[in-house]
Amino acid sequence: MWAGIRTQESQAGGKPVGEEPALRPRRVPAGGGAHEARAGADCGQMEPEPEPEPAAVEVPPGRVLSAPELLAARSRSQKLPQRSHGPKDFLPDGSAAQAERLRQCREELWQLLAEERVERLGSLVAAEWRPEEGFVELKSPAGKFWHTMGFSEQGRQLLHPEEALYLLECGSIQLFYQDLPLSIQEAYQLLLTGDTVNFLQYQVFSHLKRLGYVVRRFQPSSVLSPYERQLNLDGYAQHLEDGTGKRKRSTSSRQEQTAAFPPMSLSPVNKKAKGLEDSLLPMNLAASSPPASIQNSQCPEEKPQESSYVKDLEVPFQLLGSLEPCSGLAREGRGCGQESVKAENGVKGAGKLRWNFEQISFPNMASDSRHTLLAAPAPELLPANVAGRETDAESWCQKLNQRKEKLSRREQEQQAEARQFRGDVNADPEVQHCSNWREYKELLHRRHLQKNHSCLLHLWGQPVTPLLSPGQADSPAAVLQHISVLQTTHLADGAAGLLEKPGGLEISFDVYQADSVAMFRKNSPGKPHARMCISGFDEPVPDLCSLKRLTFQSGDVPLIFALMDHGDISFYSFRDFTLPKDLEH
Amino acid sequence: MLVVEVANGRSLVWGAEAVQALRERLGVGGRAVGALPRGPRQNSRLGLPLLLLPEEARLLAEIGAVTLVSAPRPDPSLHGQALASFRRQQEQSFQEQSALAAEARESRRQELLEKIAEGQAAKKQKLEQDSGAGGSESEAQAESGADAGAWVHLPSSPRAASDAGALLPRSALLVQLATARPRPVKARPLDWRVQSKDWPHAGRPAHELRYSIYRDLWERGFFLSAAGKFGGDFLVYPGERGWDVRKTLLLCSPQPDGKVVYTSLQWASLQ
Repeated sequence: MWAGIRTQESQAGGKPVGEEPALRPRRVPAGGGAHEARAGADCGQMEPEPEPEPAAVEVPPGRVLSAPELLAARSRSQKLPQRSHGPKDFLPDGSAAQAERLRQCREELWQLLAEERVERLGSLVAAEWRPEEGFVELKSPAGKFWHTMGFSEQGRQLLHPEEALYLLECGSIQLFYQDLPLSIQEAYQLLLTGDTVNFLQYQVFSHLKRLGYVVRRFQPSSVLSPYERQLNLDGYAQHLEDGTGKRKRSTSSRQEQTAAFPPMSLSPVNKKAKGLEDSLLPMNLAASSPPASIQNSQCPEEKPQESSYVKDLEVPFQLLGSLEPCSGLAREGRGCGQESVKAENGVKGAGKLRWNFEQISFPNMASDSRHTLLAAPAPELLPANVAGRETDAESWCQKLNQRKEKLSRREQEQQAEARQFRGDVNADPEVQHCSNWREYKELLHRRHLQKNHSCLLHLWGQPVTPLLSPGQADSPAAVLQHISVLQTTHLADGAAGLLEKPGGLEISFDVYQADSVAMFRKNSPGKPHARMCISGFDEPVPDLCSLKRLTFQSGDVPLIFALMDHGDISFYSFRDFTLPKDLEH
Repeated sequence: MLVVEVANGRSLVWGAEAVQALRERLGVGGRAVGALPRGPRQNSRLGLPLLLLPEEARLLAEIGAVTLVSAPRPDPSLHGQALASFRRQQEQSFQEQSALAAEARESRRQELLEKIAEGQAAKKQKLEQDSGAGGSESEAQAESGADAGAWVHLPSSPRAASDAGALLPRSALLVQLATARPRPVKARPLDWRVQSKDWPHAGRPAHELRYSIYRDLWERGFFLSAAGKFGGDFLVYPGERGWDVRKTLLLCSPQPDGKVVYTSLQWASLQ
């Protein structure tokens, strides 16, 4: 029987009960031990000290190893002892063997915890913490970790604070601040109090790093939409960044960009525009590729129409391309200069910027918001002996889409209305048979009844009508589809325009698979395995708005929420799934 | 005296002896959240610092076992002094390590000497046996002579080196990457009854509730740890680690009179 359960009244300052010698004394002051609570805290004192001492408290220093201890530390075993000696015990049974095993476990644990990190000075990379910049700068050349961690800027090798702290804990670097090496405790204090990374985020970061993943900070600009990926745009992005990385030191004049680089590096181009340009424009065009201005046109807002819309555009583009090279595509000069400067300054963790839809105009052949008047291209864009001219592509619009459009209900109504006014009533032969108004009205009435299921007038003639007519659905699934009130939505639907809330949940890290380490390139990491959002259990579950915004921000990479509870990490994610509709399944 | 530094509501213990004292004498577990020096790239065993639950920190402060302090900022005025003492300590360690390394080399050489002597003797014996076979005797002799010469040379070169008082190359110097701050500092004590930036828990109803339960169970002799990943508040063990108990769900509610009522739930099969 476990003798440890004692019922005591839970009052502060109660009398100390006589302790059983085998157990931990629960009431302080306890007997023995140099680490007593305070001076004079012996059995005579009944109450714990009510007020804190006004004077400052001296925090005792950590252990400093002497030279023999250092040498001894190098020759200690590198293997971790196993966790439990023997099978796990179910209940304490007071046996000596159990006690012995426990004691052994404990001894090993204290010994392990008390070990200090000892490294050869030659194998440590010196690094300096720069609080004003929020980075750690490497003072000696980086080691193997440079393959997956850190970034370059202006010729310096830099680490993020969480990376530096992790490497310090691993014993790979020595971190200095004002020429004094930092202990791990000081490093935790200095590096984790900034607004860039906090304690929870560091715990998740180090947990994942210890498992072997490659963890980088989240870069919103690197999120490619599925469409961009389809066009292999990330291949171009790599080429771009490698190129500009090499040309880091050159002046940032955009005129120096040669034709070898895709023109998209220069301006905030509509990402769809960019894709089409790349696929359609010959690369040897635009030798100096300075931008010219684009006329603004409305960009299509509806994403579902996107793919069909763009495919429609491809046709006129090829046609236009035959008319004139560069086909009047010009880019805005606005924001171009600063773009190229940014692109040239190497990859400072943030690659190309997001497309700015508002500033990009694009020829638009679709049925809504047409933009078909295309200006003549600037003559300096064209090769010699090629004249550009203005064109109005309106005539092509009719020849575009050979397939019958599926119009939305509103469009159908609009077209029906338009047809009403366009069509001639007298062209109808049945109307021509009517000789007077009365017959005409009867014809109309007949038609109306036919249309509205005259056989079931008792159903359809009332204010409350059936939801479906028999011809509308042919299977239970179709019936359910027609009468459903809730439509299937996906998490990223409608998320494009959501604004960020200050202080809300944000994506912290991109996580790449551990087995891709050999092929991992920092400048073009590719698509991450997952993205992490970090929170604690005390914080509320993210609301739908945040979830949508974050899922949209993450693109097609799954989003994982890492929840910290006092050292324990749990990983959660939200899944989109569709409920089956057909009853038969 | 046990001192625990608190920053942003988080209490971290950086000394191994302190962790031992907390666990063995006071029955407060905490959770190790740092990398273990011996194996920093694995997650099954973690090392210092030890993270304490706010309830644990408060309990320890209430019973007077520990003094909570706000994590001290580095004092710029003391920086020069610290830097000077660090450099002095580094130099001293360097000298000592060189001396120790020289001693180690010397003792190794002594061992080697014996082995060399043994080896030479054995070889001489072998040669004498082989000399009866004839043939390549002269070569063998020359070889053995050369070998002996080589063997003889070997002891002398390290002796020369150590006699020259060669220091360890700087890159071979061993340094300690300290876990806890290696020098004492002064810190302001923290009052856990008052809400502050470093201790935001005071007065929060959730914290008070959890604390009352924690305290009651601790006084009954149980060992508690965090249970967020199981969906609960605490995991309660009858003793320190090593026990694997059948788990039941316990609902606790403190009564206004200070007592706590526990209700245990168990799965019942419907057969």
